[in-house]
Amino acid sequence: MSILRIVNAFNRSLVPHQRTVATSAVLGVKQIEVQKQDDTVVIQAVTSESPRQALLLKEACQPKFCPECSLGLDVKHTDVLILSQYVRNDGCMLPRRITGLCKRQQKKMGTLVTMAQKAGLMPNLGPSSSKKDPKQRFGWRKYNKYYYESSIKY
Amino acid sequence: MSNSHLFLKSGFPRAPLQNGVGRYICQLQRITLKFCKNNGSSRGMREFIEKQLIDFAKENPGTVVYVKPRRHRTPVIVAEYLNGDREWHNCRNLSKEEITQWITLMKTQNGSSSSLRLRKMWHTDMPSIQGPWTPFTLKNPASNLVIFPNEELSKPLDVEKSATEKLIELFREQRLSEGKLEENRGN
Amino acid sequence: MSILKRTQQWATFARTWHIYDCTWQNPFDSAKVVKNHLMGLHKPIYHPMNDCGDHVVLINTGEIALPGDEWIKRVYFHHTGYPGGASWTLAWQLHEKDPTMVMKKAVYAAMKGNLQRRHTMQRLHLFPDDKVPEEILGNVTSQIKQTRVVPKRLDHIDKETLENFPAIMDYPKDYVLR
Repeated sequence: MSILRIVNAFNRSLVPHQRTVATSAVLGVKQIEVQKQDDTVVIQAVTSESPRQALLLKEACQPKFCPECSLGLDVKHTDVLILSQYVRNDGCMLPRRITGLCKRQQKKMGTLVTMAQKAGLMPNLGPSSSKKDPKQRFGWRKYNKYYYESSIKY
Repeated sequence: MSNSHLFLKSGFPRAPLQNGVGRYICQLQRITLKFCKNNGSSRGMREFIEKQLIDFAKENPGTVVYVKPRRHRTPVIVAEYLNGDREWHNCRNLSKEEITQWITLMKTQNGSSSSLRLRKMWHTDMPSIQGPWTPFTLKNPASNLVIFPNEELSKPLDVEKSATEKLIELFREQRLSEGKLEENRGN
Repeated sequence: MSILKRTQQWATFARTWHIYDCTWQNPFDSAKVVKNHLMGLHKPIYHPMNDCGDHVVLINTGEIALPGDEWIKRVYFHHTGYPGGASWTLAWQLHEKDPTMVMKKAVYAAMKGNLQRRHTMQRLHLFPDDKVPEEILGNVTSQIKQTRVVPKRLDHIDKETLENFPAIMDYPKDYVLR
């Protein structure tokens, strides 16, 4: 953990024009744990494990992983369970440095996510101010739509 | 659409009263041969009458043969059938072999060949051996107990496995193989 | 006709009532399947003069899915016959007015344009949702298979599958989950 911190600090010093302004700690979210051992009380800050660690596929642990190239899966806009893993809670796509996809696949996933959102298949992954039920949208947006994956332009 | 304006009647090849299944009855009732005793056009007809008519009459005892010599008229065969049809055929300048052929045709016919347009060139009393098709022939009898609309019956056939399903299977296999590894280690 | 032949005729020309669920289906692809059943083309005894068509009940016609932006691009033309009576209605506007019209027009257009078409359309029964009168639902004896797979919404997927679904991407260690 500390090695990573040093590496990150080193990287930061190499690129001086990048300024990361943060009010709270950016490097990992830590949870404060209070433990009572006999007489002493130990207060520790522990980094929480990622919720996805237990369910990770073996192939996904490689640095360059993508469902199409590594596993040969043809992802469609209806495969919401796969697409939702590349999406943040408020519906935005995660950047390429986090997803680890190549440029082509990142663009394809982005388009697929847009299709799924337009089709109303991911209503719970949206900003808090949005309507959660696609049937309550206005006009033509409330009707069902589906898209052809062959229309994606890389 | 309709054929009522057409004069030529249409039908199917039929044998009257299952003729031939049991006993065969020649459908030719009477045959009339008209010829001229002198004219050259009746030469074939005269030869036929001299040489082959008596044998024909002996072979077909059920058919009445009339021979009518008529001066200055073309040779003609008129065949009358048991169903009342009448076929008239001009034999002018025909050889006796050709006349024989025509007479054999008339002997084997049911009625006049030119009076009926055959819609199909076949006929069968048993068109279906396994029984004619009904909407229930090839239906699954389990569908009798189904309450419609049913979700399972509504799903399309020949659907490729989706990427989600394939992933789930991959993960299951991975878990199984991990489980086996742990077992081996434990043993 | 003898009694045996009469019952045989009755059985062969029996009119079946089919039901078809239109949720998430393309109306034009479904119309191709539905029109075959309406005209009797799915039967080996078919003949245009035979009157061997079946009844088809279409449910959930309000839930049909059009590809891409066809809801905004597809237009339905209508002319009243009077001068200046031409009108172009967008598909979504028509769907709002009457949810069964898009499906009905799709089936009408898929059929052959002969004099039997109006009569055959009378054997088509459309309902915008699940509610079908009991008399009609009681007649139904067969279901027609859908053409497209119905997609599952993320919030409608059962909890078990959600929890046990494998992850294909893990966040880096210094990433903050907001």
